[in-house]
Amino acid sequence: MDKTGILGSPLGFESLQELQILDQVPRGIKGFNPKGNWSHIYRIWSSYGYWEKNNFDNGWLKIQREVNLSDATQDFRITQLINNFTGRKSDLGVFNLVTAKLKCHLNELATPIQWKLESQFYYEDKSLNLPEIGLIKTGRINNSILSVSTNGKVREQSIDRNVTSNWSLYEAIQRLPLKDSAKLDFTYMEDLVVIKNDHHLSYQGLRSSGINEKEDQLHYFQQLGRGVFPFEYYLDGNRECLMIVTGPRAYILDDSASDIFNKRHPWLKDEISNRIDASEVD
Amino acid sequence: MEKMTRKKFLKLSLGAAAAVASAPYLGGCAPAFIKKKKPNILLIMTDQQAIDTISHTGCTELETPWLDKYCREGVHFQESYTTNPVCSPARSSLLTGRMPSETGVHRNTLSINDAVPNVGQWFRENSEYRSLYAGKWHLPQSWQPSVPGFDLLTPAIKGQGNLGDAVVASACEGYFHNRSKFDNPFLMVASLFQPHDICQWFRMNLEDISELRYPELAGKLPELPSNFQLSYPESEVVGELRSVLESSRGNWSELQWRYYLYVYYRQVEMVDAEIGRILQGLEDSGERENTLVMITSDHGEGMAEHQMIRKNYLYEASAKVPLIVSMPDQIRSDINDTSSLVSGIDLVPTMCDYAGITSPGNAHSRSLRPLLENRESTWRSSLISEVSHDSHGVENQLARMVRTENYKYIVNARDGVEQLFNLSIDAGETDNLALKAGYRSQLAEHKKLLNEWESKLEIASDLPENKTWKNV
Repeated sequence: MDKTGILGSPLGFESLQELQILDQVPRGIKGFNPKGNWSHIYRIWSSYGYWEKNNFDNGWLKIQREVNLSDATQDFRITQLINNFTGRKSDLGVFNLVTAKLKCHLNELATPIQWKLESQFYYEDKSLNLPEIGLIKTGRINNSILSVSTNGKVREQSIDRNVTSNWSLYEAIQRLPLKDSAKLDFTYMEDLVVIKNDHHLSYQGLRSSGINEKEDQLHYFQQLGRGVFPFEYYLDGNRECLMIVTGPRAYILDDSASDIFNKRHPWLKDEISNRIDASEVD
Repeated sequence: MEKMTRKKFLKLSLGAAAAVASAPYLGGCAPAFIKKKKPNILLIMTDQQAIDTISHTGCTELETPWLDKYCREGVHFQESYTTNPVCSPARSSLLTGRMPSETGVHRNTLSINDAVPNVGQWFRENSEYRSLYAGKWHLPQSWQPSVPGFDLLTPAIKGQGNLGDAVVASACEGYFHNRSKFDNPFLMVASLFQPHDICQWFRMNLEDISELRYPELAGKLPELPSNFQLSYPESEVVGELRSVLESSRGNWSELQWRYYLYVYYRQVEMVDAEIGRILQGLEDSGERENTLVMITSDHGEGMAEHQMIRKNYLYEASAKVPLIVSMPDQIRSDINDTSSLVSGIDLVPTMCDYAGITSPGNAHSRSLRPLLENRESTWRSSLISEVSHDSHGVENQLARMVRTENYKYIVNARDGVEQLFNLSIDAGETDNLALKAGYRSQLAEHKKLLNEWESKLEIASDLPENKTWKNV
C-alpha cells in the first residue's frame, strides 16, 4: 500500500480497494432471487482511520433466510462472531458468538414476530477462571408490545408498530422498490436487544463503485437515525446486498469470511459448530 | 475464600434468625453480628463525552433516556472536571484517586506507577469484593489480555466502540444475570469506547463538503455554539493544536462543523443505549437497590466551541465531564448539583467510603458521600486540572487550570500565556480577563492556589523532569 496517514474521506469501494480489502465489487449469488431462500456471509471489517495501521477483521455475520408463503412469514438463522480485540494474529482472542432464530413478517420492514438469541463468550486462554456471562434472550412483538425474557427475567414495553431489526432489514432492503419515493420510517432494534428511535431509510439512486474496470452501477440506500453512524447499503442489479458501510465499519459479502478466524484460531471452529448444533436441538 | 453454598447459607441464616428472635430488645440497635450488606459498585465510563450531552440537563439535540433516568434517580454534578483531558492520564486518576502527575501517566499509553495501586488492586487487598473489568483499559494499551487487580470479562476492540461496546455491555449484562445473590459484592468497571469513535470520523471526514452526503439532513443539523468564534489572547500552544486538527486542515465550512456535531450526538446516543443494556441487566438482577452506580467519562470533546474538536486543552467542553451517582434510598435523587467542584480523583475515595475501607487517595481527593447524602461538610473551594500529553506533534503542551467558584484560570508552561474567565457571567470563556486592569488580585489568588496545590503533589518517581512543573 502506497498511502500513509489518515484516510481523509468516508469508507467506500475505492478506499477499500486501496486498503487491499477488496480487489473488486463483491460478487453476489448467480441468479439471486431476493424473494427466495438464501444465505449470506458478511465479513465485518473496521478501520481506525489510517491507511497503514489499525485496520482489522472484527468478525463475521451469517444470515440464512427461509420464506413461509403459507403464513406470510420468514425465518432467519443468525450467526455472528465478534473478536473483541485488535484482530491481530498475535493476540489472545476473546470472542462473542451470537446465534439467533428469528421469525419475521413478510412485510415491507421484515418486522420481527418472535426470536430466541444466545450470546456466549469464548476465550483463547483456557486458564482464565471467569464467571459465567452467557445470555439467552427470547422475545416477541405482539400488538405493539415488546416482551423480552433474559435468562428467564421478563420485561415488557410498548413499541412502535413500524419496527425492524438490523438483521432482518438486510433482507427487507432487497425487496424495496427501487425508486426515489422508496422511504421507510421505523424503530430500529439493534441485535434484537437495543431500541433506537427515529430511523429513516431512503433510496438514493444508482452509484458507481468506481473500482471495476467495467462500469458498474449499484443501487444505493441511506439510513439515518438515533444512536448510529449513517448506514449506506449497496445492492447489485439482482438486488442482492453486497456491502453495508456504517462510519468506520463495513459488512462485505464474502463466503470465506469465517476462514480468517478458523485459520487463526482452529479451536474456534469446533466451538461454533457445537454451539450451532446445540441450538438446533432446542 | 470458601464459596458460600446455598445449603450453607440457609443454615447460617436460620441460625441467625433464631438468635435474633431470642435476643432481648436492645433499644433499636441491630445485633452486632448482623453485618449490613456491603453495596456493590458499578463504575460506567464513557470515552470523550462532553458534559453538555445529556437531554435531562437541557441538550435538545439528542435523546439519552438511560443517562436521564439515572440523573433523575441520583445526583448529577454540573461542575465536574477531568484531571487531565486525555485518555490514559484521566483514566489513571479515575482508577487510583491520584492526579496524573502522581500516577506517572503524563501521556497516553503509559502504565500506572507500580507504587500507586489501582482500585481493583486496592479492593482485592482490603476487602472481599470481586473486582471485574470489561472494555477499554488504556493503561498502557486500550486493549489488553489482562488488567491488574481485576478479572477481565472482555477487552475492547481498539477504537471501535460502534462494534465492541455492544459486546462489553453484553458481558456485563451476562454477569448480572448469572451471578448468585450469595456471591461476594462486586466492584465492576464497565469501560465503553463511545463516543470516542468521533475520532475515526474526523480521520475519514477531513475534506470540507460543499453539499451534504446525506441530503435528508438538510435543515436538521445542530446550530454552531455561541462561542464558536475565537477569543484572544490564548496560548500559542492551543493555536498550534487547533491548526493541525482535521477541522483546520480540512478548512471546514459551517456545514461541515454542524455535520460533525450531528454525528457526535449520534455517538453519544449509541453509548447511552449500551449503558442502558448494562443498567437493565443490573436492574433485572435485583441488585439495583444495593449498588452504587457511578457514570462518568475520561474527558470531554471540543463541540466546536472555540473552533476546537477533540481534547487535550482546558476549555470547558474538553475539561468537563458528566458525573452521575445513584443508589436508591441512600443517595439523593433528581439533584442537579450546580455548585460543587468535583474531580475524577474523587471517585475512588467515594467507592472506598461506601465499601467501608480506607482510600488510597491523598490530600487532593475527597469522597463525594457528603454531597450525595446532603450531609454537612466543608467542600473544596478550588480544583485543578492539568495537561501533559503532547498530541498531534505539538511540543510541550503542559498546562494547568484552577477553577474556583466563579473564575477559571489557565496557564500554559511553554509561553506562560494566562487566561482568566469569570464563568458566572461568561460561561463560554470568550472574555479573557487576565490582561485587563482590575483583575490582578484574582490572578494572584489563583496562582497562589496553584502553587499550594503543587506543593502537596506526590510526584511520581518516574515522571520526566519536563513534565514536572512547580512554581509557575
